[in-house]
Amino acid sequence: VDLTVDLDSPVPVYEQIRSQITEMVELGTLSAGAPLPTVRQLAADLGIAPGTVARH
Amino acid sequence: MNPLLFPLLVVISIPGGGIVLLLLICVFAREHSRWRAALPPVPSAGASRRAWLRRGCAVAGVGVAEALGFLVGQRAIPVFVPLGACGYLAGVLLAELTIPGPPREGAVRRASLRRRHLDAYMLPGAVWGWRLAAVAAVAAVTTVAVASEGGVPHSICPNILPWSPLGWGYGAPVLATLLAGGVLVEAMLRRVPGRARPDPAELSTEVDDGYRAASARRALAAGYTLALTPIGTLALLAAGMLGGYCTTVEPVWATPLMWAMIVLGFAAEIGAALGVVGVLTTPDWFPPAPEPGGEAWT
Repeated sequence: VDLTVDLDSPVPVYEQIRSQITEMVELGTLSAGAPLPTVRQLAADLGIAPGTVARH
Repeated sequence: MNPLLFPLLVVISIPGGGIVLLLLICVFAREHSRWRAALPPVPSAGASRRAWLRRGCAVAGVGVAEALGFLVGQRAIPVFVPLGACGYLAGVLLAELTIPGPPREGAVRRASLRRRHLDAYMLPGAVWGWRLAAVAAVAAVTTVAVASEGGVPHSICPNILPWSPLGWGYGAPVLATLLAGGVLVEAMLRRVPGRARPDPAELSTEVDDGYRAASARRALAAGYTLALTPIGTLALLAAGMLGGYCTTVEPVWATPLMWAMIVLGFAAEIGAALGVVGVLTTPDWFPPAPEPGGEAWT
């Protein structure tokens, strides 16, 4: 299950993360309560600040 | 004695340790070469450069101990193994830092939502075993340093070897290397799952996970050597004291305790030797675990 963010998008990155995770749960791609990566892990993989990930 | 001979003295000063170490290295190297021959080819991704970085740092650690030998004489002998392990651990960490990260150019970034756990790369019992050994080593070294500064061991055994681990002259450098090595091991254990996933085009997820597992094993193997070496040294020293070698006073509990110390000392020395073997025989990467019903790596 992959997450994609566009840094040039007018939608804030934290909002992109939040909406994609919500959508994945609604579609059943991601089960509710499934462990997500840690904030630092996801921030490192996406190359963004941990604070941005934590906002979602 | 010439400080250049100190590394040799380190090996022969462990009762039976040199023989055990050589035997284990021979057996494991043979097994490892057989196992490695069956490994699938790996995209280089700088693996050779990282291997030389690890070895170079380990040699630098021993070099620092050798330089200490010229400065402080035989008191440097107990820090040869811990400094070598610390150097190796620094090398493992530096090598890990050189693994390429994800692509940073472009506005579109992609990441997996699969959580990476240390348990996936290493048995959790091994991590807690290392922590227990490290705490025991720090406690043992501190206790011996404090007790011997008060003159307790010398009152029991005035003819103890001149480089024997007594006082803060032994305790301070060994404790410093234990703490430094402990920080490096824990930093590696955090780095293994925390490191960013590289570009899959450059390094596949399977190989990247294999690199993580190999790095975790290297760090723990060196950590075990670092922690178990002083435990073995001190336990065997205590056994020597309790065995009547140094004292004429022999309480009833002295003999059972002496045997317990001998068993603990040899077990710790063998564990430390196994750590060295683990460092020497860890492959560049571990292949992914086979699917249920698939062919296992043997």
